[in-house]
Amino acid sequence: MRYYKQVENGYIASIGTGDGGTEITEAEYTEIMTVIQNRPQETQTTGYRLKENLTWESYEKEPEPEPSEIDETEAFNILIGGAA
Amino acid sequence: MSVDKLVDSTALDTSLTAIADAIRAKTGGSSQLVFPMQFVSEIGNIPSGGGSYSGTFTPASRQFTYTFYAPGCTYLACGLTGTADLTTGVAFVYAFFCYAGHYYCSRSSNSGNSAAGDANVSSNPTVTYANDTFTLNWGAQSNITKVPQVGSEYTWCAW
Repeated sequence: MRYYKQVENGYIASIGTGDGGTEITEAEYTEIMTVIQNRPQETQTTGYRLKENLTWESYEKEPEPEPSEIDETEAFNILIGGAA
Repeated sequence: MSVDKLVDSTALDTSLTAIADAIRAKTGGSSQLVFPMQFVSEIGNIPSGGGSYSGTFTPASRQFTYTFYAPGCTYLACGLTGTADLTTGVAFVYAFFCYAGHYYCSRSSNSGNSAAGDANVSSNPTVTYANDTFTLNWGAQSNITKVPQVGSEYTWCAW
């Protein structure tokens, strides 16, 4: 099985199996997975991103809207006064 | 030029017709193919790759871009491999389906397991396909609701 990590701007965006990304060993995959599983608890105001050196960096999040119960098309129709 | 083989022309015709039929079955064409140039050009026009690709991915960071390498594919589907962690208090996506310019997802709310589906989300993320790769880009936003859950393994397939 092929293991990979996807790195963006010095941060690990994801890890996975299959094609793509930068190939890593199974040992490295397991190590990163362990770090991810032990990540700091994300809150409504603070998020965390994983740096390449496997340390976490916190960042301040913007207020997160509650997901709408209506889809975008319906919302758009309401905005423009069209059919429901 | 050397002439050193006897050829069974009936068998040769049958063989060439079989090859031409196989090419036409792939291309959807029906016209007669002239050997060898049209055989070569028709085969050359068949896209490389294709078939299906699959794998797993586990988001490590909530923002950024996720890419999926899938040569010759048009569609990408992805869903949680295991059980969703609903204790984080953060909305996330259970599953999504996308192709270039389109993203459909099913997700939780911030407060728990009530799921709301999003049909054909036109932005966040943008979905592109280039260089044999699907790219889902959430842009510069630091906090959005249509993102897969950090730390959870997803299984994806593309075709």
